Parts: sequence; C-alpha cells; structure tokens
Amino acid sequence: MRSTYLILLFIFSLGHAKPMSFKDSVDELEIVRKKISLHATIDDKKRELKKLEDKFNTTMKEYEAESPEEGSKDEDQVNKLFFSLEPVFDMSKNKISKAECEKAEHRIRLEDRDMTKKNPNELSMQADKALAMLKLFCK
Amino acid sequence: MSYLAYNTSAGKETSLTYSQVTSCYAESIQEQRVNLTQMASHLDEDGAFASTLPKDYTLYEKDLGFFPATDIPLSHKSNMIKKECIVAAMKRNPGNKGYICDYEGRAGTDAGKQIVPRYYGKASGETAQCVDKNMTDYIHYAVNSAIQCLSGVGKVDSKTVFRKINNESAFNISVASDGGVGMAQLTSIAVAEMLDKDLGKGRYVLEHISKSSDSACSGFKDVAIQDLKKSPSTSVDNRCAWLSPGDGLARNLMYSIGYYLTMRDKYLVPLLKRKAPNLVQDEALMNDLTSIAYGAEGINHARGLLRKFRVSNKTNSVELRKKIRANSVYLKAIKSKMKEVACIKKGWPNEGKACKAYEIEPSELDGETCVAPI
Repeated sequence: MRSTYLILLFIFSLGHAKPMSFKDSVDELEIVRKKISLHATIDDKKRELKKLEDKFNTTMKEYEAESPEEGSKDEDQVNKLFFSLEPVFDMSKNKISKAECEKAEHRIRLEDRDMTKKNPNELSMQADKALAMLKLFCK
Repeated sequence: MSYLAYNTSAGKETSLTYSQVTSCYAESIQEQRVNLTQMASHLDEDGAFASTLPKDYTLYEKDLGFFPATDIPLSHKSNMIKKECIVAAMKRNPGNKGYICDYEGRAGTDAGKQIVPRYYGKASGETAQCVDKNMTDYIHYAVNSAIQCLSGVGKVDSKTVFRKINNESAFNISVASDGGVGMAQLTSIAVAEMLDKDLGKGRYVLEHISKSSDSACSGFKDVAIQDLKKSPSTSVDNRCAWLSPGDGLARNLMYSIGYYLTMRDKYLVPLLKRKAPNLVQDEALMNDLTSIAYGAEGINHARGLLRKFRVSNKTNSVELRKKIRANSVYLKAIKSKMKEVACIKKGWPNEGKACKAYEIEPSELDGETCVAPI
C-alpha cells in the first residue's frame, strides 16, 4: 500500500514537473555558457549547447502542461530567450562557418527588432545573451 | 496652385498665413513641390517625364490615378487605397522630423546628385507637411503602384499597408530618425533582410521586380535592378536615397511592402503551418500577425503570442484575433491613428469633442473603408 502511494506520488510529480522560471533560465544559460567557454573542441561545445536546447524544449512543454490555456508573463520572457537563442541552436547543427555565423547574428538582430522599446536601437537582454553565446562558436 | 494647410488644432483646412507660407518656402518645400509636380506631370502625355513611361502607356488608368497590375495571378489581385484616406492621413501630424532632399541641376531630374539634406521642421504650423493636389495625386499614384507591382510577388493586403504607413509616417515621404527612414520607417536591418543574399530572405522580391514586365512596376524596376547590383547605404549621409521624391520614395515603398511579404511568407506562414495549418488560410488573422511582425513589435512578439495562446489547429481564430489585438501595443497604436483618419475624413478636429466621443467602427479600424477593389 505504501509503495503504491509512493509510485503514485512519483508519477504525479513527473506529470507536474515545474518549468524553469525566467531567472532560472538565465542562470542556467550562464552556467552553460561558462561550460562551453571551457571546452576546447567545437564538438564538445555543440554537445553542451544541445543539452541546453533540450532543457528549454522540456521547460516549454512543462509550461504548456502547467497552464494549457494561456502562458504567463514569466513564460513570455523564457520564450523570448529561447527565440533569441534559436539561431545559435540551428547554426550549431551544421558545419560552422563565417557565413553561417553572420547569418545567425543577422537573424538574432532582425527577430529582436522592437520599436516599442524605450531605446529601439538597443538589443534586448535576451538577444545580448544569444550574441554572447554565438561568440563562443564564432571567434 | 494652392496649398491645403491643415490646422490640427482647428481640425480644418485654413488659409496659409504669410509666416506659414514663408516657412514652407524657406525650407525648400517649394522646390519639393516643383519636383513632385514634375513627377506627377509625367502622367500627362505631354509631360517632361513621358519617356520614363512603359511602352503601353494606354494601360495607365486616369480614373484610378495609377497603373493597375496586368501580370499577376487572379488570387493575388489587391485592392487600391482610396485617395480620400491618403489625404486624411497626410493631414495627420506624424510627430517627427523630416528632411528635404534637394537636387543639383534641373529640379527632380537627377536623383543621383542629391545635396546634403536638412531638417524642415514643422513646415506649416502644426502640420508636418504641406499638402497640395499634386502631392496627394503623386503619393496616391506611388503607393497604389507599389501595391499593384508587388502583388506580382504575393497578395498584398492594402488595408495592412495603409494602417502601417498611416501609423509610421502619416504618408509623409521625408520623415527620418534613428528609428526608421521614410514613409514606411525602414530600418537598416530590414534593408539587409531584403538585399543581402547571404543573410536575409527577402531578395526574391527585388529579383522578381527587376524582371517584371508589368506596367505597375515601371517606377520600381530600375531601382530594383540598380540595388541588386549595388546595395544602397542606409547611413545618415545617404538618407535621400530613401527619402527623395522619385527613386527614394519608390525604394522606400518597394522595400517596405517587400518586407511585409517576406515577414508573412518566409517567416510567419512556415511557422504557422507547423503549429496550425488551418489558420494560415485566415486572412484577417494573418494580417494582424503580419502587422505585428512587420510593424513596431517585430517577429519575436508575433511568435510569442502564438505560444502564449497555445495556438493549434483547434484554436478559434476569432477569439485568437481578439487576444492578439489586446496584447499588441502596436495594434493599439494603429487604433488611435486610424481614429484620427476617421475624424479628419468627417471634418472633425482630432482634439474636438465630436472626435473624442466617437467610437471608431470596426471597418474603419481595419481600414476596410479605405480600400476598394479595382
């Protein structure tokens, strides 16, 4: 009886895994960025980045499970961070070249364009983080 | 020829005072007017610019005031923007600084020899631009020709174009700041998206126009050919390439409407096809999403809204559209500026009681009352 209860509790906790908050996402990103900067080979860097992408995908599924009708403001910020990083994720799946790096940077800047910001010429924090990540692959 | 000086405080056209006239003339509006008059006059058979007309000049529709597209699929047929709405929009104050682009030599004949631009300020009292018949004819001609020409690339929603330009510049060809340049407030990143074959996805638009034999593209084709060979700079020193009446205006419209098509067809449509293919067919929804991506908030905001509202094939598009509108600063800004157009059309001052009390009709907000089939 006790073991059944524990199994049910385990399953319940799996079904309601808590997504990373925006702050957690940024912290996680910083940890991964440091790890990537320490890797010597591009393949190791790519593997580390892939883990981060998987974490983001999982957290977004968790957000949807937690709130199936409408996302929260915190989730909006996490989504924006993911969108900004997406060009880096996509680029890392192929052979990295100067042209691919420039393309990824253009995409980050284009998709970040928001003229409703106080200073439209400044990039968002999310885009800045994505560019910093891009630099680790495009020196 | 007389100017229509629109007084935003009084909400009506008034006679120009001596100082207002001097202000207009002193800031070279007169020269600009001459350029525009000459350019508009090419529509007359005896006009000085007749040589720039396409071979089949008879295709020009005097009643319409522009060349309707002749070489597009039926499904791409786009509405025209009504002149009365363009005139009303031009009477709005865009609240921005502008440039006058003068020319060396005979006015308006050589856009390549522009001299240093300068601010014109608020040229006619509270109005940012002097509006006369030739100017409104010309803007109407240029904007509708651009819509017709770019319909060859993809179906252009004229309502979205009207709302965008009304919001960005009030159809003023010369406003410029760090935030954007010209009638559609183009940014350098948008220009790179349209021109750079390695970085962006929009070059197909200019390539299509450069090969087009459609009469509607006659004012745009040469600019497209030229730009595909050598990209025009977007630096402050080269603003007239994007602002001058003539090539600057043609370039601004071509890139802007082209950017709208690129955002919709190369970014949003593929994205929505993955999430909710049924919704791609919903024109009204696509127009709102494209307005956000193409407008001030950008593509990431449009994408964020699709995620926020858990968009799937089961999503009710009418409900989704309401939520999207409620969550877009840009679409709200469009509302207040479309209301200004509605009030000006009714002859009400924007600050007056009648306008303040007026609840804008959904058809006015969407721009439906400002477009008509050809």
